Amino acid sequence: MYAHGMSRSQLIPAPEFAPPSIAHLSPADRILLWARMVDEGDRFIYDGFRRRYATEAEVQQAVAEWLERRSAESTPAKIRMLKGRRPQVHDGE
Amino acid sequence: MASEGVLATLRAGWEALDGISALKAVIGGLALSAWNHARYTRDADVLVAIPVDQVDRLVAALAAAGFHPRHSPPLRVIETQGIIQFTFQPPGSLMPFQLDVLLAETAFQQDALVRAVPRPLPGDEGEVMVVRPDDLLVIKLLAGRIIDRADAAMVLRENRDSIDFDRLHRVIAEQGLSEDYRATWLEAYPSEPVPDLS
Repeated sequence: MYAHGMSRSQLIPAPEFAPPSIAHLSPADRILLWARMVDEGDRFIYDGFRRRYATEAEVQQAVAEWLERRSAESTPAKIRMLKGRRPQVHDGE
Repeated sequence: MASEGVLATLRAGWEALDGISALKAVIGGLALSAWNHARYTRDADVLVAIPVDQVDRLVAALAAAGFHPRHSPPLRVIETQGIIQFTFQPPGSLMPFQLDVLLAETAFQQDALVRAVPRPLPGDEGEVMVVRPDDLLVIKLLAGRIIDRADAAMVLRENRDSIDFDRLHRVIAEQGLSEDYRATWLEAYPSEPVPDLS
């Protein structure tokens, strides 16, 4: 714990250890950075499947299953977002 | 060479949805990066205020643009919430992308669409509407996964000057997210006391 009972960051790097902000980039360049990050990540994942499986058909099957798992994981979160939450007793106090 | 397939997916989907008379805004990975937090997420999500009786038109427009509904019928109603999921294979991409169209029904969602701001797409290829950072933060807290909470903290940290905190704190209370927000605040600003939300 920090002084005064405050918590240290656990889900993201503490400010003093965080990577540089991208706020100095133009909005379009920030979006482009994300798109290229997705390309790079996809390449890692796809190459992993290619090393694991012998045929292109097996790779494509693995890709399809991976995408299906991702969708199955993210869809409930999107439904939670759409539903919203009802106010709780004492909430906001 | 990079294919930027996720951008191609959003561009094609946005153009198709432009033919539908409805408020809409991007809320997925593009919105995160527009608000200074780029991470690996393939989520291409669009929040759309469209009556259920016009969903067929929406599906037809996206199908004409090369999007394939993942389900039959395309509209899934899960716990009373409507979601339409498509797959799209942009040229040159290693893997297909999923475009999720989320039907906005609550007052918060409708407000978020009204408050959305335009952001240019790379390469002078038009612009899309993006929900504002405070609305994105609420959306992330409602989604509720660990990764969503981390996203919320980064959006809070990276957009302090762009957030309407009075409105944000009111919405946080209305949505019953005060405890989540307090934790998010301490993630974003560990050395600062949490604002009074009362």
